[in-house]
Amino acid sequence: MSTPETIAASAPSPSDLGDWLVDRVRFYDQVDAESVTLDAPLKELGLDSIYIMTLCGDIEDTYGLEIDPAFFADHTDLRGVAEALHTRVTAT
Amino acid sequence: MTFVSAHRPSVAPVAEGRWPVLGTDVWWRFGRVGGEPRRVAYAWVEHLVRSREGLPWRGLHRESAAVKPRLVGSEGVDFSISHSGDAVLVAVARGVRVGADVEAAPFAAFDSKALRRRMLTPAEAEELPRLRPEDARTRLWTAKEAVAKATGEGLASDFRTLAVSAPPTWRGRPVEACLAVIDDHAHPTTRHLALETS
Repeated sequence: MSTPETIAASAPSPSDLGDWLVDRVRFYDQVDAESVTLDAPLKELGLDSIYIMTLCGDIEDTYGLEIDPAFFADHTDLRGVAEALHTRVTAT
Repeated sequence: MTFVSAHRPSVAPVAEGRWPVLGTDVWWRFGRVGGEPRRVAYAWVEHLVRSREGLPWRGLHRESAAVKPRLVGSEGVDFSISHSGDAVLVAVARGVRVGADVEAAPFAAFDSKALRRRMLTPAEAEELPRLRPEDARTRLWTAKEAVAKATGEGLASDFRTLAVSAPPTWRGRPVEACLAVIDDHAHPTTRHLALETS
């Protein structure tokens, strides 16, 4: 499995984070790529506990944020996740 | 392990058994099914409950989507279900909290270094490269996931501090499965299961 590139420089926008999340979830290849969108229900993206934990690790690798897997329970779609991550990124 | 004849909707052999642990019994059912693994899993829970003398079957009640359903009228009886691909594992126990996890190949998800870093204790991370076959990591995952389901913590459980035993030699299998129970001191006991014919 590939390792996501570490993104440095300026803080990513919600749009950047959303694109990155869609890319990662498509890479996990649990559902058809076309169905992975910012507004698709999170529960329909094939993100079982293994991939939620993987995504936490990928977020940490890429953005340096330590995310608890339970974080995802507060969101219904990747757009919400991206916005919450943006808040976390800009707060650090 | 006891094999029972396949019955609808299963298309492969189904194993069913009893795990005596912590002064009680965990009853489990494990197999590969033809389709609708979630529906089969709940049907198997009903089967296990109905098969136990003294356990009434009055259905399941779900408070909310975020909470595991509970058995109606069966105080102190816990159950756990898991499915992956076409593999299903369910367990029912009285007087103890039980967790079940099954993972079916391919196990490519475990190639991720990010996942391994999040799921292994430092000792496990050091030991893992020496374990064979490589899918010992899947075995570790099923044990941790089963424990997390037994405690009810689920993903709130930090797998990096959750040590489980994983025998160093294990024949790689297309399906890994594990049961876990928790004692009064929150100490987990796990038991791995194998489908010999899978």
